[in-house]
Amino acid sequence: MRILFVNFILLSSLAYADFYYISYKYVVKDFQLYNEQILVSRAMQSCAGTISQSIVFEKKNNDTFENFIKYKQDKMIDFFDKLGLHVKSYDSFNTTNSHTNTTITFFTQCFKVDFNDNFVKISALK
Amino acid sequence: MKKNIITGSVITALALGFSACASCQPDDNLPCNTKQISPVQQKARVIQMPMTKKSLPKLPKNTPVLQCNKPLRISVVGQGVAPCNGACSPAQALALAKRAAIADAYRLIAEKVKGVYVEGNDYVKNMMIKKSTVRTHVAACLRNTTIVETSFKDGLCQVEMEIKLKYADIVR
Repeated sequence: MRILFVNFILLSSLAYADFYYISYKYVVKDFQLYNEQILVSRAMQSCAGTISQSIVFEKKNNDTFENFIKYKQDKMIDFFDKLGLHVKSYDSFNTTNSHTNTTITFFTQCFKVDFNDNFVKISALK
Repeated sequence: MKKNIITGSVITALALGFSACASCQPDDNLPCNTKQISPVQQKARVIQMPMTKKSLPKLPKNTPVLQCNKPLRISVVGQGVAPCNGACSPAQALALAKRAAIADAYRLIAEKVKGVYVEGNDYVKNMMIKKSTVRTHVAACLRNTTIVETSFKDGLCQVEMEIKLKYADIVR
């Protein structure tokens, strides 16, 4: 009976967890931040895969997940760093001037999100 | 009579020795006293020769080398400047400069670990250099970097970043 109940809880939590696609990119030109964007989109169907790494945030106000992510951008970048960030840099040096262009990208990945009243749990899927 | 026989044998022995040495090709680096190699073995040696030439280059002293039992730490200092010239608040300037410094640190780590593609172009006209350009390009995927220290002074943010390389991670 107890096992059935636990299974029911697990299945219900799986069924009600949301899946979001998140990507992040920022461009630095000549040692100055030029452009930064984090894109969040709700998945239309659940993503397959097992949970690899998770991050938990405390939630205080009634924001949407998209806005919540934007407030917690710094922590999210640290989380993306654990998952893997792509670095591309192009530098050109001339007799008169030099330019540096660095792009940091976190490619679009599906996350399982438990968006509750008190906390938010974002889990990366593998 | 005996003397003549001894001297004769010595001369023949020397002559034989010299003839054996003459059979050695001048290109061979092997000493003459090594035993004769059959043509099959020689062919095998020729095939194996390029393999032996691919040995690791000699590194300068105190160069950090990744070993299987010891993780290697690579540390860099990235720099960034706030894009607004006095237009934004100090806190905003710090946040923006820090982001730029982190990107620079990522680039430096990628340069150290993976290497840099360097491309140079010189445009010469009438035996004179008109234009000289050097382009560098880095592309890598980084994971598990840590920020050790952050400092902000006179609008310049410096971020010390570290990456721990493990032999197992690279082999995988």
